Amino acid sequence: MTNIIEVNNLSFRYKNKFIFDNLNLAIKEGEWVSIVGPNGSGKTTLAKLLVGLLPSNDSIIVDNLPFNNDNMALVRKRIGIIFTNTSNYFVGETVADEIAFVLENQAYKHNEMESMIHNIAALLEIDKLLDKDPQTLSGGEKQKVALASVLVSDPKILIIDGALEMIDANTKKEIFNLISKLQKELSLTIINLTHDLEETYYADRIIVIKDGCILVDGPTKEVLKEDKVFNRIGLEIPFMVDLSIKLQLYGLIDKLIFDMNEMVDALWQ
Amino acid sequence: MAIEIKEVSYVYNENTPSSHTALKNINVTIEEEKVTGIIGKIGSGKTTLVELLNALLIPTKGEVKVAGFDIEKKMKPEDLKALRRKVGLVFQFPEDQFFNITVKEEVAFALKHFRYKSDRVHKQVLEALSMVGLDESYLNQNVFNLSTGEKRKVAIASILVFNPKIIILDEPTVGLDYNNKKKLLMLIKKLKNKYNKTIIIVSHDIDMLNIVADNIIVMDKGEVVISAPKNEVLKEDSLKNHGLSLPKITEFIEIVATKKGIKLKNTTDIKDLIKDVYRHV
Repeated sequence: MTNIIEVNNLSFRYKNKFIFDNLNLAIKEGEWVSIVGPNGSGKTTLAKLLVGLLPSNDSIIVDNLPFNNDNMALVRKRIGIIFTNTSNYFVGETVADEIAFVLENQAYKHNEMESMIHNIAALLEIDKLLDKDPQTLSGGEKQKVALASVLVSDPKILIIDGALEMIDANTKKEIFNLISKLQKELSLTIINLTHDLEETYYADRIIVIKDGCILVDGPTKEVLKEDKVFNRIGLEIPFMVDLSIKLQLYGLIDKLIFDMNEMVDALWQ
Repeated sequence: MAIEIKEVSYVYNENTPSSHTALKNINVTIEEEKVTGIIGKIGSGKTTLVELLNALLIPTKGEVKVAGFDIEKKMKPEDLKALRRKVGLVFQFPEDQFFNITVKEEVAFALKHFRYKSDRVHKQVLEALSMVGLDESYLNQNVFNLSTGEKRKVAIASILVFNPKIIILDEPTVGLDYNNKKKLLMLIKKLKNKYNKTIIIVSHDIDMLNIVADNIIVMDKGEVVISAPKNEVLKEDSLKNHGLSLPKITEFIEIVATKKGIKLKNTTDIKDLIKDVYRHV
């Protein structure tokens, strides 16, 4: 698989403080990567650098294009991002208007826009909501509209920056399952920046950062075993990971198990 | 004095095409000097309900009694001021609303509004900062340069500074990592046990409420569907019926009971759970 994002010797300073000093990172096309770290570790700064909201001086290459002023528009078309409270920034009077907003800015023709909006709405199972006022929707529906607004312009990369923090556990699970389905159908690369390790269950790979440095980088199930690292940097170990690690010490199971039903069956075979 | 909410409804933009009923005929009592958690999905009416408690919103119908005041349109300005001294509300992402430069100015803002004298302002600012675990060295620091956890503490201190009896925290742990969350939960316990505050926490996080709440109110589509002591709420299937999940540890104990007919002890401590599992395997 080829690298869709390459970060080469990235340094970024805010006032006199280095947030990143010589950061190197590569993300493969179609990968789902969770970048985790405590408050202040540099996650949101990295997200902003990856979408060009902060300057990266040619240190970031997206889909073979160095991210600089000449390529800005081309690179941005390849990346979609959802932040916390994205739905607070809704501007459309209807869901269809909201989804159309990005396309209008990219000067798509009206007839093209219509089919693009219907296609993405069908994929996200919100086609029946297109005429509704987005402000009257439930929290889960709003998140789906936010996702549709980002995915309608067919980005190759979806960045999720703490976007699902305010959502109850069941709705969160529903949205992540949907994103997982979309990842396959749209061949998306997903980068999820979070301090909630439960969100990493969906990822192929986890990168742990602290103070702008990579502490651990590896496959999800390997990295989640690093409970000492998470304790040291102050990240909460998810219940099922904590339970798995402790039950392994008692010799009752022999691997990490995220699903409760599977865990119960493994314990009482 | 308990908070009494009787037959309360609230409609946003009443009598307009965008009219939206956020609360429907709510009846609930919130006990004093306890921690009450309000849980429900986004849009269930949690924030609207707490905004009635310091008269940011006035009920469209029904009665709200808080700290001896009736929340109604014809409240006298002096009663409104007195009410807001007794009820402190910390909004979601409160640090996004900072508008003073230094910690001292931000925390002192309400006291200046309430026309406290400057020597008293200084003393109370220091006390409020100490309650949230920040010392004197923070006074002249720029609020915008603080860490996320410190900003949240400053926002809470700016409410504690006028010593309200009732403290409402709307999604207080959102955006905080585990260390900061743990510190905040300890602060909430301290505010209840040491300073006898009545605390109301709006949250979507049942695991957090499982740790700090005495009572839990469950909201769904603008209605209060359950209001009871925490242990009773967690026992019922009601959380699931309203699309909410149980605390992880409770859910696991329930699955063991359902699938294997084994009754593990109810606990909030994973070590106790593991010992119990070990006994039964």
